[in-house]
Amino acid sequence: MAVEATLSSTGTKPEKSFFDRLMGTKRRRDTIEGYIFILPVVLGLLIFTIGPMLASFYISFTKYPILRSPEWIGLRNYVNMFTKEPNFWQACKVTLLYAVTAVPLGIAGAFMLALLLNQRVKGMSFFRTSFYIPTIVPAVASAVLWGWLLNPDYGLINAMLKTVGLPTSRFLGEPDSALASLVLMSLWSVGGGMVIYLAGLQGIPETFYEAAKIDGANGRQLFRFITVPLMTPTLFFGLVMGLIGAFQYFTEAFILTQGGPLFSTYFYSLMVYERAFRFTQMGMGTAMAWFLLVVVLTLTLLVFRSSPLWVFYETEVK
Amino acid sequence: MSTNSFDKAASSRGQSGVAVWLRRYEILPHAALAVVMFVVLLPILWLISSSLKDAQQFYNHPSELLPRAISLVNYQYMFTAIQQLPVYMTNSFILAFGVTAIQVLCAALAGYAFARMTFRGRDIIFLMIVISMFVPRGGGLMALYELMNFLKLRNSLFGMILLFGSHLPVPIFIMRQAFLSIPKEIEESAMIDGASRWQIFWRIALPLATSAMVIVATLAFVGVWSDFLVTFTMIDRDSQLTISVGIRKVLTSGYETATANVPELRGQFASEAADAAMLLFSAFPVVLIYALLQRWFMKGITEGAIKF
Amino acid sequence: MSVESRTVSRRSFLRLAAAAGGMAALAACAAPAPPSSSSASDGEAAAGPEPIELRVSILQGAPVQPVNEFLSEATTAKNPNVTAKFEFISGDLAELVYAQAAAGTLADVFFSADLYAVPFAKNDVSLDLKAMAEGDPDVDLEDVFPAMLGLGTVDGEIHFLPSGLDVVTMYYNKTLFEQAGAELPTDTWTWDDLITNTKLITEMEQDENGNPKYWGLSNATWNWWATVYPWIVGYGGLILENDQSTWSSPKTVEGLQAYADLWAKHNVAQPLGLDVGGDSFQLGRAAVYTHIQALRTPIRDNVGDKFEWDIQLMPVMPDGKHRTGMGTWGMSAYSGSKHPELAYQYVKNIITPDVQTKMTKAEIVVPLLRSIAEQSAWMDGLATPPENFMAFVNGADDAILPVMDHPADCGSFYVGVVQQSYQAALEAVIRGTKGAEEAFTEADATIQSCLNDNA
Repeated sequence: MAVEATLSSTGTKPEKSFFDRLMGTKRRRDTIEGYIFILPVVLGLLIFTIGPMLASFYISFTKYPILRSPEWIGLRNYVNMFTKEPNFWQACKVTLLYAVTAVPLGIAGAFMLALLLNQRVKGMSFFRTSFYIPTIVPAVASAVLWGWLLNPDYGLINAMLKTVGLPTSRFLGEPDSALASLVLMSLWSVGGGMVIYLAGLQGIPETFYEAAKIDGANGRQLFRFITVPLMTPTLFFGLVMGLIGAFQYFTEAFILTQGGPLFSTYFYSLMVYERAFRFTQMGMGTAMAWFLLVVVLTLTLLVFRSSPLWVFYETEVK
Repeated sequence: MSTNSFDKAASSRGQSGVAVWLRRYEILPHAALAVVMFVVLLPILWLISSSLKDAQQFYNHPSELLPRAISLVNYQYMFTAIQQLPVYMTNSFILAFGVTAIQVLCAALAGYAFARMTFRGRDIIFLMIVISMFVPRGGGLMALYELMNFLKLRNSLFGMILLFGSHLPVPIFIMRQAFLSIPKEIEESAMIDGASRWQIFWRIALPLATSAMVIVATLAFVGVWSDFLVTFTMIDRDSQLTISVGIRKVLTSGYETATANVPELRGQFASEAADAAMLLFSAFPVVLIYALLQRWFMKGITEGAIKF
Repeated sequence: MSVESRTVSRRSFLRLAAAAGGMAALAACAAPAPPSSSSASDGEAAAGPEPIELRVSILQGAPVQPVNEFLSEATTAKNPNVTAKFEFISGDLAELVYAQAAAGTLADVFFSADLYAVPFAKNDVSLDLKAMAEGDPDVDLEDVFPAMLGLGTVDGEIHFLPSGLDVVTMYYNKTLFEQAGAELPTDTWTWDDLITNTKLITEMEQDENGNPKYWGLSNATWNWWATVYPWIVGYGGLILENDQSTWSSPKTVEGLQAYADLWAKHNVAQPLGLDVGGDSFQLGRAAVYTHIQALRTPIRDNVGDKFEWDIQLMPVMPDGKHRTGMGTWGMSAYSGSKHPELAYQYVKNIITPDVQTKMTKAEIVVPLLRSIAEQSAWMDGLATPPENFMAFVNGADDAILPVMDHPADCGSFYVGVVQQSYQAALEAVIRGTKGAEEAFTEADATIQSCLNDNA
């Protein structure tokens, strides 16, 4: 607790006058104190995020099989990645497909659940807690569990489909259905988004609805013109976090499909991992990771840029 | 407070006896919620029930949600044959508590600085932290791997605590929001009374940000507990593995060696049912922690701790 | 499996974390460091009174640990001043070995296996044992089945000595064949015979969607090189010729198509991606399963009296041979060891008649010495099933070695670009989404591009 010691010593130690002089004006004092407060965070950021990123930027221009030292090869990793890697575009396609299905479905599902819960339901906190549980089950456990549920031969889901006379599916075992199965799996944890949307819904002042009703608005209009606009900041948050999560999707696919069958679940992160740690092509893996970073940052920027068009901040009416 | 559009939508429609009855007791939303809850909890129920079935029951009636007779053979197998489970569990606890403590403390300090203090470079540093939120964790893994190797921190729980503890964009964001929402006047009056910055932070601001801290702590604990990729890459020594990675290792390594430890149980349990017991075991602590914290967690979220 | 003693690892936690190679450092701290023992004075040191501790890095438990107990015993019997100290490893073996080799802390002797032979040799981690073995009266390299010795031979150098005769053999479910009214496999069966008879099994019972309940062939090892490459060789094909990738050459394609037809055309094999909740052979759902001898024990334990089973030679390929592959583990010596001669003295025991007999009687291996394997005495008293023990031995001369000539950066049958490319192409052909020629032309292009980059 170096920080505490430094700060609390200022009042009593004989160095007080010196310290005061060092600190100088309140502004300067604020600056120094501010730096002390953020020091651990900045150190962490430098060592564990920025440092590795700079290093990886260099590595991405090298040929680097873990055991030998990196050898500079210029842009070859990037060129090969776009032109020669047979599964690169497949990985992009799979990841994008997952992002554009799982994220909107997840948001819609979570929002609908939140709307349901936001009515005067009894046992609201009980429901809320139950729905949230899947999001805290460790990813490994939920992946294995869903592997069983979706098993074509003895899985619960096929057993239930059979009972009600619906056609069964091979789910993760067929190229046509594997990715969709992972999307389905992801919906199990909509509870995470739901609690946030529910909080957002509960934060909408009742007076807004009262006022609108006096003006003769019906239920649909209330939803369309009050609930939705006031929820957009929260939905926006869900969208951004959802996209980031989708582009980094790894564990479930790693455990359940390893990218198969026929690369139908070959997520970008799986490819990066495979290059770097299975094929020991650290240079290529890192180049791929950098491309992903650029894409994610660009996309996020676009989403932020688009936000004035559809995200509505409460302050605008207050 | 919590009434909304749907209620009003219902109340403005035409009324019949059934509709009134449905509305008065809120039958539809309750029914819908109950169905969703069943679907959501079904996998977990199935997992629990499977873990309580012996081999014969599991193979003959895998889809029955209620075991005909409760058997603890899977748990017996798990605790006697898989000797490294307590090690994994201990490691997970050390890691999760360590990271949680670091994250809560560092994020509170930084969050407070970004919310309340003015210093040069504040906004640019904050921006960088926010941007680092979007850096894919898996993407920097190769360089992180090299770094951890270089620092001799691979295969070390201490190193993992530092690594996870340093990933703070979301916690800082949450803490900053929390401090921003505290009325400035409270702190200003303390400042006039001669309190130091530290005292104001520690005695006044921090207690007012308890629910945000609980959110940070819960997210940190849950996140570390279920992390797979980073731990999987950084740790390959059995004695340092966490439960999430360790459990996968046990599940994929087959039963031959483990069963050799308890030959008397051979044939009495189904391997999936034993796996089910292990999965439950791996998830139990984190669910318990969540159950203990959930009141404050939900309170914090309801207060709007998580939004842009 | 738990690695080192927990208390030690906790106490020396920080020291460990700060030491390169982690676990090896622990042993290094504990090990006495006799400065005098260089490789030149090894013979002298061995004869002298000075105790030497040989570090041996292995996997815990059967089969590796008991075998190393034999090796350790035999070593100490000959060199009373030498004791072996086991260090148990787990996790990604290659990564761990590389890390320890880079830090110079790798054990004198370490566990290796077929898939590591080339990378460990090409990265100068393992010692070439050939010269020492050739000059050693205790071992007879000529007596070792070439297929097994070859797995550890890289560019003419011997980089690990194999543990046993681990040729891929056919396990079959007698009960299922009989129920289906099929003939039992014989040692003259061709693959066509297998297809004809296992069709009866596949057609025996179907669910409401028309999916078979039982299959002729398990999918458990469908993409293993030891399953796939025999088809290529059996049809006269090659996969690499003069630095050219030739997966799409006509004979290779013919062999691969014939293999894929077990699914695509004859429909006798368990579909890919259909997991039946365990091993389909052991669960009695697949009639034939191909693997090495080591599987006999778990199969016997898990099958119990659910059904009768035995083993048979792999069916005959068009080239008239019982083409098959193999896979084994063995022991290597570290190139940076301070006691290379002693390390060899330890490792060599794995192929001496004495230790091979002990391992055989302990039911860990089938002997890899021709002089033992081709007599019947080694089978006496072994647990059954299987009954037809000689099937493990008789396939050995038709067994083919994997191709080891790809540059390390392109991987091999076991890893990397080569493995991913052929497995992806094969999967497409088996699932019927592509023809063999199209799929393997694509695989060739990918592999060739890597070959060119690393020429």
